[in-house]
Amino acid sequence: MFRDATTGKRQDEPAIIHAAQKGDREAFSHLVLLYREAVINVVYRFCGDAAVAEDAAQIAFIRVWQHLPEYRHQTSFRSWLFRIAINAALDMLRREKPSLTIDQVMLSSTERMDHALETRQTREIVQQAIIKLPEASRIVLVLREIQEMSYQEIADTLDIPVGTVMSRLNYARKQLLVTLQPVKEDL
Amino acid sequence: MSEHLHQWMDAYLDGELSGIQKIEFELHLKECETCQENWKQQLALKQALTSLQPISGLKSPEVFLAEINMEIGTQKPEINFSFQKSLWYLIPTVLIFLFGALQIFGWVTGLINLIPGANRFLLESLPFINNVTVTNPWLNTTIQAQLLWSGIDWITDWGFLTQIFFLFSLSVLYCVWIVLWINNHQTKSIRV
Ligand SMILES: [Zn+2]
Repeated sequence: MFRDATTGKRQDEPAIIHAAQKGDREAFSHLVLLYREAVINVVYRFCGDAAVAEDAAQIAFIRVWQHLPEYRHQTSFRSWLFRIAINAALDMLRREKPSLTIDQVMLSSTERMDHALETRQTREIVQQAIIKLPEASRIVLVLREIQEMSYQEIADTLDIPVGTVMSRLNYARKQLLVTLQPVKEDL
Repeated sequence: MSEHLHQWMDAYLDGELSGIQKIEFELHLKECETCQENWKQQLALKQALTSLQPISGLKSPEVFLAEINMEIGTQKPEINFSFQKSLWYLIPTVLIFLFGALQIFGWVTGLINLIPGANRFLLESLPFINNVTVTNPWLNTTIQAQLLWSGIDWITDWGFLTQIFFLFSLSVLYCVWIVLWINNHQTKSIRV
């Protein structure tokens, strides 16, 4: 599962990172495969576009390779990696606008009410509600809910104080509750 | 607002409350209907967010990796050594070392002065310096004049306190410099 991208191989991770910093391609490939899903999912929940998420993840890993020697272990590798990935995604999103608008998705989801589709539609609505959030609180929410990062780790990733993490998270949740109020019975 | 401990709701939900705070919040939650209602909503929201299925990406991991490797090619990770960047720490470091060397030179010559005739020996044992300053007296006067002009007396002649004070202010300057440098070169925070 993408939620525990770092568990399992955590013990030798510093050694792998160190080897990759020295230019070991195999170690780097290992890191890519280890974090691929986690990065794709965070960016996907952030932007709602799977293709953009995958491209941004690839760009992020290329940047990671180029800047690996600059990684200094003060923050977790995950924080450092996600910061690069989020910046890559923001760069991409600023260049191309998403093709689907929220209203379109909301409309199409009410068209068919067959039961099997219902949960899928609910998920879609939840995802669209996330996309509606302002960028700053959206990314905090995604790192917390999708990656289950601690407040401190989120603060490290985004380079903001823990207090700001808390207020943005609080804002995001409040907004989501307001947006999802009409569909609350389905949740 | 504060008696409802609303600000603790998120932290409780995320397992970020300390032991005592957690107990305090749970006690309040038991008794307060407003917070219970809020709690229920938060739980439902959390559940909805957890129900979001992870996606595995459109490309297989192998293709994903192969494309990255193709893009990287044969390039090795490199520290972008920038001369301009390194000047930030090189200049103050060189200054500190220079001053240290000058101090040591001052102490050594001071010690030598205690031995009668040793100063003369030192000068004569450094024929090159001696030669240069003797044959080019203008060099000596220029250096002296410049030091005087810039307000610096011959450093070896300084008193102990003056030297300590100078060293101290130099260190402060160095620290300020380093702080500025770190501030300037910190990884840029994400623009959100
Ligand atoms: Zn209450």
